Amino acid sequence: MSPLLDVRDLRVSFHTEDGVVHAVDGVSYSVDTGRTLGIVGESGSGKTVSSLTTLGLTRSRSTTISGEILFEGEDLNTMSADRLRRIRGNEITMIFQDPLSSLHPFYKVGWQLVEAMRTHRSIPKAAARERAAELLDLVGIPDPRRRVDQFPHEFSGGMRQRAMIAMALANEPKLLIADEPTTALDVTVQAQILALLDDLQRRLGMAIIIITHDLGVVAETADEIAVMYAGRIVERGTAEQIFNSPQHPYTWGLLQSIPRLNTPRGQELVPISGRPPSLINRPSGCFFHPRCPYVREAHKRIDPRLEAVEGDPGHEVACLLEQEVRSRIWRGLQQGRTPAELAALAQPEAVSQTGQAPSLAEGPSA
Amino acid sequence: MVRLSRTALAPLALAACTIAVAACGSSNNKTTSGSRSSTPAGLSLSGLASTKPNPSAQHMGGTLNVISAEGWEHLDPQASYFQIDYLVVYATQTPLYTFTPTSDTPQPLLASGPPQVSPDGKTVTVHIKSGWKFSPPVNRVVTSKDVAWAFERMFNANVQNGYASGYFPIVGASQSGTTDKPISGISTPDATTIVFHLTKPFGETMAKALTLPGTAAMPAGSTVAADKSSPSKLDSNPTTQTFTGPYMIKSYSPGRQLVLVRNPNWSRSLDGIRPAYADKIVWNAGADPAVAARQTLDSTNLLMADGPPSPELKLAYQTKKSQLSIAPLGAYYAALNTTVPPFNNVNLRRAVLAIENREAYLLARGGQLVGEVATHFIYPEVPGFQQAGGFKGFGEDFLASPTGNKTVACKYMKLAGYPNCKYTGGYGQYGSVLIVGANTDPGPQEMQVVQSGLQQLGFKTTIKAVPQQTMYSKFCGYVKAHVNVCPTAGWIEDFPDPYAALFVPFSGEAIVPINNSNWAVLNDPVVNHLIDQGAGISDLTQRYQVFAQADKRIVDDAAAIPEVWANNALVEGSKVHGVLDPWNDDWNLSFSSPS
Amino acid sequence: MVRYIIRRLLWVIVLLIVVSFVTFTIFYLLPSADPAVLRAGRAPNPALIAHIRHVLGLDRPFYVQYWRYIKAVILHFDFGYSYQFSQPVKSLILSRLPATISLTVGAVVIWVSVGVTAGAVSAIRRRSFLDRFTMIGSLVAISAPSYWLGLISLLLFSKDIGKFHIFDGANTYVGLTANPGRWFGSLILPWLVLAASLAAFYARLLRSNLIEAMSEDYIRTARAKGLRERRVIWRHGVRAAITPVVTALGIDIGFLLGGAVLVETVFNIPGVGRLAYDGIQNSDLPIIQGTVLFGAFFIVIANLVVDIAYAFLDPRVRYT
Repeated sequence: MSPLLDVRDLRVSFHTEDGVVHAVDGVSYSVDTGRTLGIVGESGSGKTVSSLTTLGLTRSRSTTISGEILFEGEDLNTMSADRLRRIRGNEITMIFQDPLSSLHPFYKVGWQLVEAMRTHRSIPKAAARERAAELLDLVGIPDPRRRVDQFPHEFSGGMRQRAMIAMALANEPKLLIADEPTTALDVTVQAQILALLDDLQRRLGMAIIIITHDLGVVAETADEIAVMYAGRIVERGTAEQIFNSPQHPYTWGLLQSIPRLNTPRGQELVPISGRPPSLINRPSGCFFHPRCPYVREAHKRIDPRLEAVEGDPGHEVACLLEQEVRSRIWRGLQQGRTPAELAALAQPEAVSQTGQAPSLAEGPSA
Repeated sequence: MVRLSRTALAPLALAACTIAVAACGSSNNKTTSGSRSSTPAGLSLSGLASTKPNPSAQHMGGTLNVISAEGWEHLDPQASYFQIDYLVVYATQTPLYTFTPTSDTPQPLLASGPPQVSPDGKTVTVHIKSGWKFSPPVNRVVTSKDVAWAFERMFNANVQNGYASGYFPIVGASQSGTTDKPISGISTPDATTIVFHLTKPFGETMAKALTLPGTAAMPAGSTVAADKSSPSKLDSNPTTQTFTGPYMIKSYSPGRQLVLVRNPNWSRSLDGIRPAYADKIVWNAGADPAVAARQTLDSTNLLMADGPPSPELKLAYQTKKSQLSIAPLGAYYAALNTTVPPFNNVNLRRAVLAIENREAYLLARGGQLVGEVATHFIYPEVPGFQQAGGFKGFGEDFLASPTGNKTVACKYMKLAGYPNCKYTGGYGQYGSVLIVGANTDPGPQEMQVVQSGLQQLGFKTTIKAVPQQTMYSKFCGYVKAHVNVCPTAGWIEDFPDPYAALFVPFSGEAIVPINNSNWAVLNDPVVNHLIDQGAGISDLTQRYQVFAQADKRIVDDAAAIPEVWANNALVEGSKVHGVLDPWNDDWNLSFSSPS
Repeated sequence: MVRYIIRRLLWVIVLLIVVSFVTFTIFYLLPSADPAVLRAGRAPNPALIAHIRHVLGLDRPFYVQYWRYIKAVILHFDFGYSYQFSQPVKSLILSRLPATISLTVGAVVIWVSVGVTAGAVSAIRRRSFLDRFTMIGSLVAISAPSYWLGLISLLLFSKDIGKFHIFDGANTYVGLTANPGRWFGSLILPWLVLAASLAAFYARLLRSNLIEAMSEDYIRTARAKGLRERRVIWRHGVRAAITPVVTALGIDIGFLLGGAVLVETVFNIPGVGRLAYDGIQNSDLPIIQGTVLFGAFFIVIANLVVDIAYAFLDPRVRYT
């Protein structure tokens, strides 16, 4: 079965006064009906831009877009603006991070839902209003008939996000894109929203893309996960593959920086050092090399491609380190060693001299 | 004094010499033929509009359209005292005598002949024409009792007449009551005769004052209810008046519009003076002066009742001369307070007159088009001007140079006791010479001219610029304020006679604590006597001689710095015939015609 | 909300009393002209002046004069008599009000429609030629003094003194009921002149607010819903950006109802503004007081209306 959404080699560049911003640089992913794809990365990784581009919301005179965005076989990238508008909010919908600012403060919630409906189908106002109340009920908002006539500021944070979801579901979309749906919410509410999305997917059978910077968010809900960095996908696989045997140092960093309940007290979170790179002047060679604790000289010159991981079909990574080296480092990290300590394992001298990586007990070799 | 329209008193500030005028800047004195048509020296008056009556070219009928920036103050004839108001009042009412556009001696209008003044000057007898009718609904014939009633109204304080006590010193008349009560000094022996008994030998001058609108007859007894309000309801609601002139006030919207229509009961043959060409007169007030001036110049049929602002005046002079008229208006001078230090010393005053650059005043007001540098206080349009020295003046050394002469000034400083030509004496309550003037052009410039002259003589000076009305009512016109110099003083005569030009501004008898117009507070017994004496003389040559002496004495007293003899400009449409009343320096609506 | 309105209305009354007192005091204390003297003409007769002062009540102490005035206003709605015209101030002002209202209403319609449209177009097509042209043009229009603009428009477009004989010139105003055709024709130029600088101001105001609104998240949501761009701009963007415009509009209307002096003067429209100007020129205290109070009343009421409207426009605002 061909995927519902198939993004192939998408490139999006913004021409600004400061230079060309390569927001998305050759990204490919796909999602099937009824499945959930999680796109994970820091701000500036290009995860949001790629989704907005799917909906055609980045089109402008100063934007260059190339590649294919196939939705049910049709390329959205070359579609006319008018046709795309008919798909937007209808077959593909999107919800955003901050539900308070994403809902228009001056219109009642019910009115905004009705607007979403009446844009794409002719349905009398009374019927639309009725359906709006049903939708609010569907997403778990109590007393929906009263809530329909209220304004966004009269809802709590979690309820607002539910209302946004209701609005996104109004036209029974085939694909729902959720951009940081829980970031602005309390932790407990986060869990409720994620559970809601999961539940709705099972009931309505739609595909979902969840975009987030927090791997923890997609741990339970995503079927597939793509990790993005500096406009590229650096690792891709099923959720199990990513969590059980992550391959990319960036992914390790993401996993390590998730606070866990079972972490020993006093043990510090291990953040990824440095900051996301400029998308105008990107680092040479491997984009991640300035921040990678395991960088080698060659990495500053060679740009890695996404390659399959041995022995793990469907799992891909773009990293120049040997697989064995990666496995060792990951094991070390899981045991609680710091990246600094493990950096030596990555050095070529350590490998070639003895034919195998130095034992952990020795530490960095002289 | 007739209150000028605001635009006349805040005059034409043209840049000097921007108009191509011959001999600009010099003051070669042309002699004049007749006091009225005196030509300001150096100005080319050819090509300007003719403002004299032209019966062969003027046509009967049509509507006269008048436009003005100013509105009307008092349309009650017994209260009316402002230049703009006179246009209406003289067209709708009939005083005993009137000056006409072509004569500067009083012509009998309601009167049937010249007034008879007794030899002692204390009795004046006037006969009125028979058969003159009031307008509908009154309709009846005017009698002497109606004329007496007019005087009784003038002395009713509610009516607020501004000149009655000054010009009509009638036995038994006083402005302290608020009813129209009979005046013992006025008797009406028969229906067409009125006799006035005066308290002093003032007959000759009063004869001229009988041209004032207050003498217009009103139906006796008819205004009692209206006169209970102050001002009278005849003033606030002038359509309720009874009219004796060629026109009646049909509608009135205060400050906005006035419509005059013909008075069906007026008889042209009985009148004998006013032709009354137009059938209807529509007057719109409250216009912006610049816009109104342009509208007038571009129109065929508009008359603008106040003067155009300087850019439009220039435009008219350069492109539409045939629609522009320029005529002498009055005099401007800088009064020096003769009662408080430092100018209570006549030699100091003469020194000031000597040092002042009087041409600078003319330039401040706009140069040649605006007038002449003044040399004394009877000005060109007043009869008796020639006898008072004409344009040259009396030839005092301290006025010989129009631009000022330090040597002469120092001579008088020495005479005053300051041999170093610098003032080192004391001052009055302000600790310096206080100069108060209007804060609109050219007030500030004139004050600076005064100041620079004074400073050359070592005087400490303070300048205070205030709105014009404030200057009149709270400073220069308020004796107790003891202002030292009032440089924006101005005067026009109430009727063409040297008495009217000199009495109020310079006679000690005219000084009043509030609303004083003798800003120099001059009280020279010689001046007072000469003015009084002249007032009683009927022979014109002698009369003018005596007033000339008074004028000379005032100049010798150096009571004020003579600044400018000013002109007034008016514009009209291209087809309308505007006829001017020289003594009022504004249009005469009974003589002007739409075509 | 009702309690709020009542409270505000009570403050209106207090404010108007304060305004009248301050006006009275200023007139009394500052050395303006003496009205009795002005009325008397330059007459050398102190008895007459004293009489006029008595008639006008000027010989009473300051507080007595004020008390009589304010009592008449509150109890009888009587604003006294004009010194100059000797007519009741109330009837003078009421007779001038229609002209001022005519001028205001027409100008409002023009400047709001032009300003909002121009501002919206400028905001949407930012940095286009149209945007730059509109912004520079509006800067000129705002900077131009309305008196000068009035004169220029007359000199260019009026039928009597203009280069192109298109519109009725100055002094052609008639009441609406008298002659609707002429009423309309006489007001075209004044409306345009009055609206010019205000339209420019509103265009700039809306432009900056709309640019800000269009960068808000709810615009992105609206687009993501698949709405037509025009609907996004007007129903979502302008709707959000219009609130400060409505606020400014209310206050501007209130202000103009007090009389647009300069425009009324240039075009000789018999409005309240011109009346106030004449009053000041003639030291006519009752007129000055009356027009100031009317003007203050309109402004204060306008403020109240705008505040209430704000609550309807922005549901997040609540009054208690």
